[in-house]
Amino acid sequence: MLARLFKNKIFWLVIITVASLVTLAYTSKNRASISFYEKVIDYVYSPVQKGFAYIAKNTQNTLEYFNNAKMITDENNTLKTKILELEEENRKLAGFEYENQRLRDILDVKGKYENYDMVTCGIIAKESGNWFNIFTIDKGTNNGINYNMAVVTPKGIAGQVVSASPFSAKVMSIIDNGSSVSGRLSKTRDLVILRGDLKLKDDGLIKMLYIPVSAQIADGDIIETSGIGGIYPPGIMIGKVKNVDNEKPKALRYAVVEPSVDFKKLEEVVVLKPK
Amino acid sequence: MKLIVTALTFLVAGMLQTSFFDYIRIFGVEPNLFLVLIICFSLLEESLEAGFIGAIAGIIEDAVIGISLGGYTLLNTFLGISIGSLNKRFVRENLLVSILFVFIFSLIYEGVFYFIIFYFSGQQDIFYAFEKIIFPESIYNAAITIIVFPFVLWIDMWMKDHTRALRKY
Repeated sequence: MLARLFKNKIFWLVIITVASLVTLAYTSKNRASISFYEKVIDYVYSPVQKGFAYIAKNTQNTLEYFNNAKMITDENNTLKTKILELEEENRKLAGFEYENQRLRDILDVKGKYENYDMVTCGIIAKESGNWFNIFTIDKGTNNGINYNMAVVTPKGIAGQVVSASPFSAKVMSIIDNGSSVSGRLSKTRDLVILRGDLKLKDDGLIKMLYIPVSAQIADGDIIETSGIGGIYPPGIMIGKVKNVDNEKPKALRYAVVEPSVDFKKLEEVVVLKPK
Repeated sequence: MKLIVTALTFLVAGMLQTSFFDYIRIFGVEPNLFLVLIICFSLLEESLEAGFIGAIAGIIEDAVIGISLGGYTLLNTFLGISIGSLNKRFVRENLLVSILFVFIFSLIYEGVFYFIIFYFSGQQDIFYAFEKIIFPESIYNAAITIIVFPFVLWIDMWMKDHTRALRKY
């Protein structure tokens, strides 16, 4: 009788449903470690994805080479002039840097990234589908990258790691619907929340919510991370206010923020690994 | 045998989807190759077999483009079962029938997906989602069915011939 039960297809379907509900419940929360099955898939997929990403990047570079010859020559000339100006400024700033370090030592203030190792990664797949904005980077737990680490670029924050396999990791960008970052207005030091939105993500924008009623916001204000929440270190640039919806009552108002990172052109990111 | 061939098809589909499909976006949407493959396979099978194909596809899709395990498994199993039970009155090997099925079930599947994941978390602009994301994606899915369905038919016939040769009577 037991053999007949195992041959019954409805029995197996019920098992599959129950098993998937259980694994769903179990894996929906914070996942510090990944199942063995996902590691196997990652082992098979990462080389292929890295290969295709390499081909795509090289094709793009080759095409750009032919397209941009004149533009590059002009840019070269402007850049040479700029270099001369910057070298002069650099000399001035070297003096400031020395004094800054001296004062910091006096106040014992820690630098932005002092507690973190910076691991540079390339993006090998953009599995955004149509609903989410999650990309895969080419380093994983073998390089020490783990769940909930911050991912930044020189321009500003990009996202956080939501899942890490041995050879790759998945990063949820800040414009993804499920991403919520705690930010601070640079000028007034008010705390706000920046969330991704389904309507704005295609334009690469995010929404600023829970703005304190007394805060004064203007277009172009800079927003940086506040450090609250433990994922992003404080003081990293998030973006600029694009426009504020002032028609709503002050408690319900929200603003549209343009992140300083261009997610359509993102190629390389830095993962902050706590020391 | 069927299990291995199906699993292999979906593994390759996953690779194509994550490496290439982001570059061929039209109007900001990319086709969902997993969805198209499941619908095409389920069209040719009966209800419970289609459910199993959905389960295999879901397990692979979870590992490739999901964050938690089990979400896509559940949705795809039930998609397979529904199509498997509704396809009896149609001429199954017809390309137009498959395009119709892909279009309608893309709308339904993505609608349910949106409903479960976004609607209950407070974002209730369902018309925007339909107009900008679900509808274009369904059209794009129906368009790539023209290439995918003959391929699925070929795999199905190959599997049937192969298992017939293995039978001992």
